[in-house]
Amino acid sequence: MDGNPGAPSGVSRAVGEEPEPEQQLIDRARGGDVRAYEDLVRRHQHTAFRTACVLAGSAHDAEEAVQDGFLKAWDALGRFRRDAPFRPWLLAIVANEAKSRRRAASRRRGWTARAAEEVVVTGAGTAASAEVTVLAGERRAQLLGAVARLPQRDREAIELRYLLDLSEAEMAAALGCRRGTVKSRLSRALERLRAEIGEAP
Amino acid sequence: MSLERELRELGDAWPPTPDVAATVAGRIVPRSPRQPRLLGQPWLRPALVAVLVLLLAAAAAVPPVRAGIERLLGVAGGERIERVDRVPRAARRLDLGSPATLAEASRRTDAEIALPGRLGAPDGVRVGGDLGSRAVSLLFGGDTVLSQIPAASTIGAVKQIGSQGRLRVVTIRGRTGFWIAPGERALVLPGAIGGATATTRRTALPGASVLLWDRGGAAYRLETRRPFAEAVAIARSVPAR
Repeated sequence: MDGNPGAPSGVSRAVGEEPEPEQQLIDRARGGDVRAYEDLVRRHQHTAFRTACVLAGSAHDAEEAVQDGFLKAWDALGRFRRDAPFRPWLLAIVANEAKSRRRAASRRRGWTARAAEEVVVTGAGTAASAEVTVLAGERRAQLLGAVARLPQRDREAIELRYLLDLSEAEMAAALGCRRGTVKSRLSRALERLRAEIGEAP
Repeated sequence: MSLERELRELGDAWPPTPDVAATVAGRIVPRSPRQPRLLGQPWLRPALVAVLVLLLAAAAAVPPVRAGIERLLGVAGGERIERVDRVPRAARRLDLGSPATLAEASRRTDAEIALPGRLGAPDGVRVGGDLGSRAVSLLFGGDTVLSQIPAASTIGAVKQIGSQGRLRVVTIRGRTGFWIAPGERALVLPGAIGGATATTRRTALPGASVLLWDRGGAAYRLETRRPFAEAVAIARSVPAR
């Protein structure tokens, strides 16, 4: 029988119990507490995995990048500045792992291209109002397709900011650039996306 | 609706997030707790080093204590996977047993044999050998061997990986698997643990990586000289028995 034992998030704590503050978990992990670090991983694996999907281009590579990134972060915890926000620091490490797994751009279209294809295949006939569903599905496919056709730098900016909802600081950490650069990259990416779908700015 | 808002609503197209927390925790090499201040005293260090050297020498000399230094990384493919300080020398290669046809192998082991979709029919079949009487090994070209063993008859061998040995944790159809690079590693068969090295084995194929996983009540062991990504793809193409 298949089916893996993935424990749902927060499983180690009793129902109704307050989650332990992140800073406390970080302090315990810095002191060598592997269970505390496991809790930290569980809290951040979702965002880390999606960030890695954007930068590595496939779920398979993203999963490996996240595992190896979390292991590197464990080794580097001693160098983490206690007053700094934890998530951008972590995302920067995972992002580096993901980028190192990215294959040649010609062979890697990003996961939005696949998502767009899936919309086209499954968008129709699955809901009560077929017409509304088809229209929504077409718009969705149009947008996903347009994002997928953008140059890699623009695509990454759009996916991290709007589809994943990262803050500019987190984007800067993941992309390895300044916040100002993030703003200008985003603005250029949106402009190109509008042109791609034939909308006026 | 603004374009930005429409883009935010596309956010449900993500692939499902795998739960990697337990796997990551299992791969962590625990750190020693921070040194108390007393250890910072310069006069104390030479004495401590001398005591430590003596203790380590004693530990290395006594097998049960030496076993305590080993660290369990996981269990998959019918093998316990351990990180050890020193890998025993293994002169002999893994014996995959005697040749058979697929039908014979299935009859002799009373098990259905799963063929990896990516590789198709094997070029050769072996039954028995070091992996136990119910182990079936499928040979593909000169560079890949897929062995399958019913879980009830797994042999309880130990895969020992040295401190520099490379290991990666992968997901094979929702189950945790372990990929072990060629290099510092040995397979210790039951009866040899903690003592003689006569029953330690090298891989059947020289220079092969090993991928271990379990599925559907069977243990799987893939030896291959193909790259990591292809080994994983082969493993993922094995149907449930």
